[in-house]
Amino acid sequence: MTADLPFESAQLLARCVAGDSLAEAALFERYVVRLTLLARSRLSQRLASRVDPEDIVLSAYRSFFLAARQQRFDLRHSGDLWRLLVKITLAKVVDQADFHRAQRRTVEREQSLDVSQQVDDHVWLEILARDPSPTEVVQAIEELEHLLAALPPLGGQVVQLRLQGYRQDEIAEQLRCAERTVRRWLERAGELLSRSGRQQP
Amino acid sequence: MSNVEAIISAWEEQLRNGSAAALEDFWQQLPFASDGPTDDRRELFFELVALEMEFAWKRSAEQPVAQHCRAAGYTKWGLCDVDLQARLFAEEFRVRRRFGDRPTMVAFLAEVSSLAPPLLHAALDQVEREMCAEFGWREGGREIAKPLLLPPFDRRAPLSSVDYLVQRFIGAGSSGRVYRARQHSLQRTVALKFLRKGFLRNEVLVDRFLQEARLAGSLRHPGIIAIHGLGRTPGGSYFIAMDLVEGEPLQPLQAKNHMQLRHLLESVAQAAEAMAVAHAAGVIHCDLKPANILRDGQGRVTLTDFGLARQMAESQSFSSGEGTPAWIAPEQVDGYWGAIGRGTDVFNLAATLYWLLTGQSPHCGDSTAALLASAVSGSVIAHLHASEPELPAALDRLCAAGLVKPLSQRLQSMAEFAAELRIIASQLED
Repeated sequence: MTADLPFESAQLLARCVAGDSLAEAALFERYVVRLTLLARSRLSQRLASRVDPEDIVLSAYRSFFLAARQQRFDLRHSGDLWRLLVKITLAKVVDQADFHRAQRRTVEREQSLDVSQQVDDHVWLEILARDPSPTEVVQAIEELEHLLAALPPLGGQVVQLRLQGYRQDEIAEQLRCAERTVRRWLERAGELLSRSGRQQP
Repeated sequence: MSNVEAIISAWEEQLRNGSAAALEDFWQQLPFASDGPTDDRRELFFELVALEMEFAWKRSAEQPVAQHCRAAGYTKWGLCDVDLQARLFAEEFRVRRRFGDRPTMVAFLAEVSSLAPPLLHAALDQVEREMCAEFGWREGGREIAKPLLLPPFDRRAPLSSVDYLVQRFIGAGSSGRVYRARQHSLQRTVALKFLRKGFLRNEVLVDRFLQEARLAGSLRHPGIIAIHGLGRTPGGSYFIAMDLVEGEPLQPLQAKNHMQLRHLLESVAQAAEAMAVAHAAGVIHCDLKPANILRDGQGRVTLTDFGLARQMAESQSFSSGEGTPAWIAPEQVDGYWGAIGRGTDVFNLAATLYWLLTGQSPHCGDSTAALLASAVSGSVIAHLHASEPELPAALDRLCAAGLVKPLSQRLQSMAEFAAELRIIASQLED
């Protein structure tokens, strides 16, 4: 698997496996950048074929992925939410053999089916090192759609701004709400995502 | 759930527009106010209190002490289990760190110690780490982005470094490094000499640096570097602003023809004339050497680096080894030879001339120690003619007069030294 990777990714992967957390962050950031790029092109196709101008939800996605593309990604503030989103996505679409192997190990280790442990570390890193597959892109979009649909408009806006990398106080200022309210929606979004991961393996 | 959300946003709205009553009253109006404590009600209660605290501290960072420990008041409501108590205290800590009086974790714990639930420390630690990650705070409590405070105005060095853009390093002097810089206000290029960082904490050396600027600044002569003033940087360092001299240090004679020799003698004569003016003003340079005598393309000479200079009146102090070994006068090494004065500069300049003519120091030795030892030894300095017999006899005599070791028998007058050099130069045939 490693042999197919571009040199840089292979290097990063090797450093990750050796326990370098900076490399893991870099690898993850690259994955998210590519994921949003692919998702954006996919969404614009979907939007182009759509005639209903009232589809506010979709235009919100579009503006999100546009914004995500224009700024250089810095996952310092949005990292946790992205991580959760990507892990849920991967838990659902990862190559079945890999995934079952990973899951079996996890189950053997402990009964808890916590989302973050459904994809085991090694598989996780290897997936991050390559480009997101089309299935992963579709799944990620769907995950985000589900999440935003389950949240009220304010909660959805908080999530989108957070995924774009804004700080809590910046989001609070943009949306004219309390910082506690921003944190509340972020906590809620995290719970919703984790629950979604638990529902279907 | 939507019901709970509606209650929370109604409360937030009231807090924002200032119409909120006490939380107690708001709570009493809720339809399920009298129901027993459930998880949902605890959650709702926590959110309402969190919002209330945030708005209270945002409104004013100076809350009366009685209003600190809001969380403690709320924990008495009976809804609270230990877990919720810890969350409320942690939220108060967060809100005060964000918007309020910014207590440290230790101070906060001390303040609420009698009321606090167990394990609060862990909860505060968690909050602290979250905030560090979110807002880029440094662990341990304060924000990184603190503007550099300007040092208090120093009347000894009033210029502001803001006026200058440092462009490149030129060279290192005895007391600091010299840079070429652009002065914005006057739109000119200048030289800035910054005191060595290591000297900053030493008041004697700082004084000396300021003295360097004062002494050179007290002199007005085209052959002496013009000082613009003294200033301080935001970092606290001192600098001297002065003319940028577009010149090169004097170099030893390349071709031994009369024209070259005359140029050289005229350059040294200019240096001596400038020093005569300095001596008249009571300033001794103490470090005349080729590197400090700059000559530009038109043959104009400028003396620089008054880092070791002293006022004639205060020159009774003896210090050993100050100067540059190859050109040092015996009295600069050892007070036995006399006190530093005009003659010291004459010796330094004569030694410079000696080196320019022969390529050698008048002192013998390869190391600093050997040169200094030779300078204070009783041996008479070798005559110019010993190595360069074809030079004019008058020049040989003048050099020897300037390089006499006992101060009392040495030539003292820079003016005389300059005049002699001019005469010798004029007698050279093309």
